[in-house]
Amino acid sequence: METYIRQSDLEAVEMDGSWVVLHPVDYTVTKLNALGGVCWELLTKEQSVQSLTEKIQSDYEVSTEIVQNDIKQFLNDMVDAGLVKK
Amino acid sequence: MNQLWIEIGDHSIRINSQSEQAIQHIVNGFKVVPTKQSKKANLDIVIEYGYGYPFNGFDVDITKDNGTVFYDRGDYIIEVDLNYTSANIKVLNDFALKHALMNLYSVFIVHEQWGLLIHSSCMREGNKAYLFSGQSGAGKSTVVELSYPRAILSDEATVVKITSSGTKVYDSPFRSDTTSFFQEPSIELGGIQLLEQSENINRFRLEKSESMMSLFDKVFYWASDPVETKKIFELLSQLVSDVPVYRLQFQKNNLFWKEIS
Repeated sequence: METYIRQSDLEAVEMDGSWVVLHPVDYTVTKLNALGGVCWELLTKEQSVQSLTEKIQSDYEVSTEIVQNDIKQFLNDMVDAGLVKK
Repeated sequence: MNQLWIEIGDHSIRINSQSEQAIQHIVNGFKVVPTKQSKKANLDIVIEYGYGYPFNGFDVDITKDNGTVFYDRGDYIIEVDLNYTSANIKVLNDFALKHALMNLYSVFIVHEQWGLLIHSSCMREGNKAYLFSGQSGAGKSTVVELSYPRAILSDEATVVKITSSGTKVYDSPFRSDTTSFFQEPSIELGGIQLLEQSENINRFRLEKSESMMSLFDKVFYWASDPVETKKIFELLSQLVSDVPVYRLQFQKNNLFWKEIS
């Protein structure tokens, strides 16, 4: 099962409930949406799509299919942005 | 060798140059202060003319070698030590010198975690400063023209000092269309307006995270090192925690000031 974790050497700050993440080498900033913010907090440790889905479903009533698709999309975007690694 | 002392922000900077042209450029555009025999300069700069080729774009090539950082744009090169205490600037002409000094001061104040140079205009209204930024063509210069007789603190790059106890703006020498007589004292920053020209006048406060995103590309900065870039992020984070940021839709008249103050 593929696992994901935050890239090291990033800076991130939470403001008004939203996370903003700096990639200091690429000189980019990324603002995360609500789901992304929850995942980001969990990604201090290795996580799979499955583990993230279970943790989010323990707090929010959402269907497995919808949340899994959103998490996959989020992880793909974060890998592309260099903020999360497999 | 000619020597001058200037002040930018609350920094004392010692300029040395054999070039009369360089000295004249400094005298014309900067706050020259009496020679300070006993005081240590925050930054020492030696300026030479005769470097490079005509302006060919804003890209700056940044390299490090043997304890020196080089910022090379073709029409200027800055060589500065890793502690940002001593710099040599070699330029082709006055235009290159103006931009080289802005480049150097920007990276110096980030290194010191003192503050930021923000691409914006800024005016004083009462006992506070109000900063206007936005995409190219959004109206930063128009706002300056519409703000007379308010004091102009900057029309291109605002000098912003950011500390945990407050945010201040200093009279900026980095200008495009106006000149300063450097009579304005530093002053508290009351708000940041991101401009949009419109048929209406409206002002909406942005969330802090949105403010961070909107201001990140308004900072004049040439990233030499991820450690330095992280300092910008921390300074911006402090700035948006301390100062409200608004989206300001404005018409081409001075009525927007009623929304601000």
